[in-house]
Formats: sequence, structure tokens, C-alpha cells
Amino acid sequence: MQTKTPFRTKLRVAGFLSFHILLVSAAICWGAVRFHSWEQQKQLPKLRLNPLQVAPLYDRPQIVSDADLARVLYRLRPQFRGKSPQINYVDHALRFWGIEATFDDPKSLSGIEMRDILLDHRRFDQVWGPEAKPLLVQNQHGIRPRVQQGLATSSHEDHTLASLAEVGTPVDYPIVTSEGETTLAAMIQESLRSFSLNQLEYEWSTLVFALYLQDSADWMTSEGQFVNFDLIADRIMRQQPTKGVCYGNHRLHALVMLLRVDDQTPILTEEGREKIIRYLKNITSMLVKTQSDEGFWDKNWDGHKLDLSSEKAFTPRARRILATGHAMEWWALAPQEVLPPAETLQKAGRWLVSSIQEMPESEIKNSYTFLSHAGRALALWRGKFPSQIDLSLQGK
Amino acid sequence: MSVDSHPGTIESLTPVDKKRSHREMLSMGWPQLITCLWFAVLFFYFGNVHIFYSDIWGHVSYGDWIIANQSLPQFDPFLSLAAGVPCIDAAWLSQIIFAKVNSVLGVRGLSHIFALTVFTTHVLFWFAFYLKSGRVGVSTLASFLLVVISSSRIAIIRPEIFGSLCVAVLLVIMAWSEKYDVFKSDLSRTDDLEKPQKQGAKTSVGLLFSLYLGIPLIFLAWANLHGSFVVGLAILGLQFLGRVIEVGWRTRSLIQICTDKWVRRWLIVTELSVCGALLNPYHIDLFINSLTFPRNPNLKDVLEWEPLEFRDAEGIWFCFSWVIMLVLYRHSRERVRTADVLRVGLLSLAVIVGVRMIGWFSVVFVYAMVPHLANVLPNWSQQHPGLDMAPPQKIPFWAKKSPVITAFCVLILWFGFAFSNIATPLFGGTPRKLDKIYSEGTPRQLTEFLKAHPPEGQVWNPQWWGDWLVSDGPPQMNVFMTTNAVHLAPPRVWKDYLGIARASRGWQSVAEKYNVSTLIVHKEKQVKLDEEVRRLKGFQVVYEDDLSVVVSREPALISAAKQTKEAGAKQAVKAIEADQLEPGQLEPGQIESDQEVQP
Repeated sequence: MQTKTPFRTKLRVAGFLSFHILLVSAAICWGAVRFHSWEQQKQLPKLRLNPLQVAPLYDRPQIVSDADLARVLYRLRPQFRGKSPQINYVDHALRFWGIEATFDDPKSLSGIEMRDILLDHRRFDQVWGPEAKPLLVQNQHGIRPRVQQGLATSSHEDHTLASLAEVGTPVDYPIVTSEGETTLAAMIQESLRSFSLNQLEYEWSTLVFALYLQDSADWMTSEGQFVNFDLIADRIMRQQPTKGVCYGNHRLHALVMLLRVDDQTPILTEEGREKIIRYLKNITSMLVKTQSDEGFWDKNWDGHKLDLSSEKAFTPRARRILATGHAMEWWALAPQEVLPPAETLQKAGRWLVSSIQEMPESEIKNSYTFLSHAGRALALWRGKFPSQIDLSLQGK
Repeated sequence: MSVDSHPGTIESLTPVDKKRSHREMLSMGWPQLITCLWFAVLFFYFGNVHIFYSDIWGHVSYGDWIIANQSLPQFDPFLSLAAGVPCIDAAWLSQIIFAKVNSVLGVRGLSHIFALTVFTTHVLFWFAFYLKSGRVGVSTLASFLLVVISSSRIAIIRPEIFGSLCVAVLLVIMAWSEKYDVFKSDLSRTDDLEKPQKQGAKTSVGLLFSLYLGIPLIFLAWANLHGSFVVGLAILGLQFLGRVIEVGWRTRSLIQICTDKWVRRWLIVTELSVCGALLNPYHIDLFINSLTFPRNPNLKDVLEWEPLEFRDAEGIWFCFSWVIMLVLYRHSRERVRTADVLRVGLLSLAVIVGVRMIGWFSVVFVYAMVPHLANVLPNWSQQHPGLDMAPPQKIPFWAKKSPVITAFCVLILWFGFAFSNIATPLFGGTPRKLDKIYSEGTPRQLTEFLKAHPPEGQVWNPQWWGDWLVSDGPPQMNVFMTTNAVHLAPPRVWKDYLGIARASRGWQSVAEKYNVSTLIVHKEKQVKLDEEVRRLKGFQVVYEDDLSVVVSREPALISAAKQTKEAGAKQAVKAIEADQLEPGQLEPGQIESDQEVQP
């Protein structure tokens, strides 16, 4: 027979239970709050609406004359209208010519048309046909262009995105994928989420982050690593000079862009900035020493013996335009203190102009990607973006 | 609701025992002799365990760093590739202990502290088993079982040994408390009804102190010594939960559960223990870290964090444990405690998920099985509780007790201690040679070479040598991976490390990505990589011994290697000319086997 529990006992039990439930709940809440703050650390950094612009700093007609520049650029128009334009040509051309570019030539795509091919699946579908896999795809991190999977894909990690950043595409710019509509922010966020400090190609990701991130605060990668631009710069400077895409020149370009962005909004520490400048000065003095009498550099611009064992596609001229054009491009944006003597630049500029003018049309088509860097470099040395150059001067 | 007495407690309190003469009191039996022998063997074994070349040296380095900087590291101080990855140093106190011992007593001190800690741990485990079973022989058998099941994890010196010591002390207190905390189910046995009330009232002050003060203090130390304190909290929490279930199952009353003395006690002890564990530099973050730690993606590639393979030694012992458990549960008439079932269940799952947990499983498993072992195994001494109660001729051999056996016990214990390495400083004699302390795979000659010719750039090294290289190599050497920082390395770095370690296709480009200028290869364990690094363009072999090969493209190392080679050749020629070269003579760069190498 059960005895009735006295009220006082019930009250004591209720008090006991309440106290301990409260205690345990407090501990759980504390844990939950801390766990939440851990998760908050993984939050992506804020983006600025419009990417920062890095404008040319110098106007040196001794490097390239107006007429020569027009003639060179005229040869490098983006004549990709038609079926199946290679995506790496399109994004290089967009970066080269910018959104504002328009051409009288019916074969050439305008800047807006090129952007549409990259960001609007309907337009991509028109030029590549329904058989081609979409350029923009969804993964666990967001939207990204397919990379190195054929001609209908981008050539390098984040290259397309960096090109869009360099031509000033705002983060709220609408993009149309095969699955729906979103904004460019989704692509940038995907890049941030999938970024690893030790990924193989990081030069363009660096550009994207430098141009789009609102502030310089450290952020946590999905690998749980806090990164900032000092650390990224260290990563860029880690490898041997000629290692990396385009004989390592994109790494140098990325470093220069970090310096230039830092001029506009501080993203580097004093020490970090000094480190980059020291590094670039060393590179410049190396380049000054290794410049050929004609004015070009080759794959072995670091002074090592030329090793062509891994070189398959490029002719000597193509290699030299690649090495020289890229170097001239990052110098054109670099601060005065890392520039080589004027003579070095002039020799290189003259060699570039004459080489591009001598190139047969077929070689220009095959080498368009790195010619776009050479063309842009020459325009920047005249203090302008390529779309600001009057191409009608080429006939004069 | 009642609490009954434990069979073990009755045995030692029989009136017969009180009447024993001094001679009888000094008499020991075979179980005691075997126990002494067992502990002498254990002491000898632990004292002779080699210091493994792996993570202990990382812990020593961490300890040195903490002492030097008077703060805890926010990021791994030795792995530049893990820069920016937040570090929660769950073993900071152990690391300081290791560093201090190493700086004062050297590597022999590390060996001694390992031997003493692990031996004490096993003595305490044995004592906990004895408190539960009341039988020396059964406790020793249980101790043996524990060593066998956890054999794969027993001989490694790392902060976990302090965690084991903490769990041993915890189990002693829990075993002590279980004499009182036993829920009686069979209410029909009216003869037992009186006992629990009496026993509940008689809970000793010492036990209460141990519960309310001792256990929280254990957790205070444990949380600062090693991240395994969460296992301890689980053990304790399940003791509370087990009691709740037992009382709830029988009474079906929330009021009864809440008013049960031991439910309240275990709840309060658990809460106090959580509070004790929170007194650490990271507070609740340490809990979150310990709970989320096994989710680290890098650990999937680490053998001890892999799921249980039933064909491996751990898998075999795990299955063996379960078979024993089923047999014991089938034949034992001892009550199965709910808390034990919960603990064995939880730790079994943990072992299946990560084989590393086998050590903790073995502890709770044996602790749960001890009463059943005692129940199933025949008890000669209970059948013949006193020498005076049965005719001498009827005493079975195994139940005999004699002062001679006692003398043997003392002798065994004395020899066990006197011949141990720990006794050398007390009694004199030749200290244990360093070659016998360092494990065979410790690359001591390699670090001598590296100290003489420090690499400046990024060094690629086997992860298992990373800690030693940091500890004994040149200062500021840029190692690629250490065992201590596997969980801190960004996953891509870890994958790249594995790619190089396995000489996977394209590993050279991966090494190039990190601008690796020197590669250290374990010749025996990395045969393929050994072959390939020798063919690596731009690199030259700059050092080689039986254990390792070093290739580098750093001019300073290459020229140093050339000089050493030339000097070696000249020396050899001179020796041949003078007819002085003898077999076994030291090569240039080799060190004397007994030369103290201060990490």
C-alpha cells in the first residue's frame, strides 16, 4: 500500500530539482554561447559593394608611343564573336579591355558581352550550345565557375572572379546560373569558403579578397585557420621566384596589388608592407641583371639555366612575351621604389611592341591570354586602361 | 528501497579474523605472492620502457615554451604551416611537468616519472578492484586483464598517463563508495532489509570528504593535465545516471529518486567535479575542445584515431572482453550495476569509433567485471576462512598461507625495487645507458648533424620525428609536421604532408609548393620516398645513417656534406695507413652511445 508523500517533501523535491535543473541549464547555456562564438569566428568577412580600383601610376611615352600602343592594342582586339569562344580567352579579354570596351569590329566582343558570357548562363548557353556543361556550378560552398575542365571553363582558380573584380563588377551584380539567379556575392563567398592558404593557385583569390573585402580584420578559413593579408603575402613570397603560373609573375602582380590596395585602405601591417617591398626590390634587381640585350626576359628570368624539359606548347617568342609582358604589367602598377631603371623598362617596352607587331595573326590567336597582359601593360605605362586608348590612331 | 552490504566487506570483518594470532596475521598466501610478483614485473617493465621518439618530445618542447614565455601558446609555436590555427593546450600542466623533469633530471627523469606514474596507477587500479571484490587474487587477475586489453597503449609516455592516474584515484573512491551505494532490489529478502539503512547512516566521514572534496580536486588537476577528463566526467555522470535508473526502475517514483541519498550525492559530486574541471585556463572552451576534438579531419589518417578493426590486436582484445563479459554475466549471481552497463556500453561505442579509446574501455570494463569475476571464481579462503577452522590436511594448496610466503613477498618486492632503474641513484651502480632509454628509432645522430649544419629553409620530415627534431634539433628549424600538431595543421597541409610521405604521384610539385629545401626521410618506413629523393633534381644527399637520409638543395648543407665526406675519406686513409681502423669504429659525425643528449 502506497503512503501519501507529504507536501513538504514534495516541495523540497521540487526545490532540489529546480535548483539542479537551473544549474545544469546554466552550464549548458554557457557551453552553447561559447560554441556559438566559436562558430561565429567562421563567419565570412564583409564585402564592399564596389571593388577597389587600382589605377595606373605612370605615363611614359618613352616606353611606348601613342601610335605604337594603338597598333599593338588593335591587334589584340577580342575577336571571339561566334560559336564556342574559349572561356579563358573571354575572361582574359574582359580583364584586358574592361566593361567599357566597345569595338567597331563586328567580330570583337564588347566588355558587356564578355561579362554576360561569364555571368549569364543563358548567354553562355547561346554561344556554347546545350551540350556544354554550364560554366557556373553550385557546390557545397556556393557558386563557382568550373576550372580546367576544357575550353568552356576557366583556366585558373578564381581567375574569372578576379577579372570581374579588376573590371569593377559590384557584389550585387546579378548572375544567372542554370539553376537560378543570384548575385556575384555568392561567387565571392564561395571563394572565401573554399580558400586554403596552401592551395595550388592562390594569386587570383588574393586579388579577389584584396579588392572586395570591407576591412582588414583576420578571418577564419574553412580549415580553421585565421588568415590576413600579411599571412597571404608570406605565402605568396614563400615559393621560388619563377614557380607558379606564368613563371611566377602572377604572384608578383598579386603582391603589387596588395601594396596598392593598402595605399587606399590599410590591409597590411607596417612590417608586412616592408617585407613585400623588400621582396619586390630583390626581384626587380634580379630582373635588371637578367634582362637580355634585346630587352626581353625568358622563363629563366631568375638567372637559372633555361630548362625546357617541361615546356611543351610555347615558342621562344611566346615564352619571352609571356615573361616580359607580365613583368611590365606588375611594374606598371607598382610603387616607384620597386621600379627598375627607366632604361630597363624602355628596352622591354620597345621589344614588346616590335615583337607583337611582328607576330603572325595565328600566333596572336594562340597566345591571346598572355598577350592580353602585354597589351594591358603597355596601356598602363601610358597611364590609361586599354579601353581608354583611341584605336583609330593605329592607322596613323 | 534499501542498501545492502557488499560481500567483500563482510569477509574482512568476520569475528574469526579478529581472533587471528600475530603469526596468522603475518601469513600470506599464494594470491599475495602472485600479486607481489605481478607488481614487481610491472615495476621492472615500466622502468625499462623506452622513451618513444614521437609526441613526448613535442610535449617537452611545449612545456619549455610555456615556462620560457610564462603563457600558454595561442598557436602552435613550432609549426609555421599551422600559423593562425587557434590552439587549445589541454595538457599544459603535464607539459610543464615533463619539461621541468627533463631539464632537471634529463631523459632518465622522464623515464622515472613514467614508471612511477604508471605503476602507481596500476596499484590504484588493483586497490579499486580489491575494494570491489575483497579478494587479492581476483584483483590481481583483473589487473592482469586490464594490462592485456590495453596492452597497445600502456607503454607510451604522454600526458595521458596523468589522466590514467586520475581515473585510478577516481575509481578507488568510487569502489569505496560502492560498499554503501548498492541498491537492493529483492525486497522479499527481509533479512537484508535492515542493513542498508544502517550502512547508509554509517557512510564514513573520510568517504564523504573524498567524494565532495577529493573527486572535484581530481578533476581540477585532470582538466589541466589532459583532455581525457571528459571521460572521467562521463564515468562519474553515468554513476549518477545508473543510480537514478536503478532507483527509478524499482520505485517508479520521482520523489524516491530525488530523495535517494546516493542519487543526490552523485549528482552533487558530478556538479562539483564539473566546477573543478572548469578551473582551467580555457574554462568551458576546454570542454568544447575535448568533445569536438575527435571530429578533426586530420585524425582520420592517424592510426590510433581510426575506427576499430576487428582483425587488429585491439579488435581481438575488444571481442575477447565482450566474450568474457557475456560469460561472466551468464554465470555470475552478482547484481549487474546499471552504471557499469552504461559505462561499458558508452566506452565500447567510443572504441568502435576510435581505437585510441581502448585504454579507457579496459578500465571501465575490468572495473565492471571484477565483482562478477569474484562471484564466478571459487573462493578457497571463504570455504576455509581461517587456518584454525579447518584441519590442515584439508586446506587446498591454493588456500595455504604461511609466513614463508610473506617473506618471499617482501623479497620479491624488494628485488623488484632494488633492481629497477629508479633505485640506481639510491643504491648506486651504473645508470641505465641512454641507448636503452631512447627508443631505437630516435634519430639522435641526425639531430647532431642538423645542429652542426642547421637547414635554413623549409624542412620536410616524417611527422613522427617532428617533435624530436623540434626538441633536439637546431633552434628555429622549420619542420613540416609534428605529431603534437597533427590536429592543428590545416587539412590541406596534412594531405600534402601525406602525399609526400607516401611519395604519391606529383609529390615533387607539392614539395615545391612549400619551397621545401631539405627532406629528411625515414629509410625503413619510407622506402619509396627514400628511392625518389635520391633522384630529386637539384638535391644532394647531405647526410645518411642507418636510420635516416637527408637530401638538400641548400648550398651550406651541400658544402658541409662535401667537407665531412672529404674529412671522413682522409681520416679513413690515414687510419688504413696507420693500420688503426678497427671494426665498429665510429664514423665521423657519430656520437658516443652513452653521451647525454640534452633535448
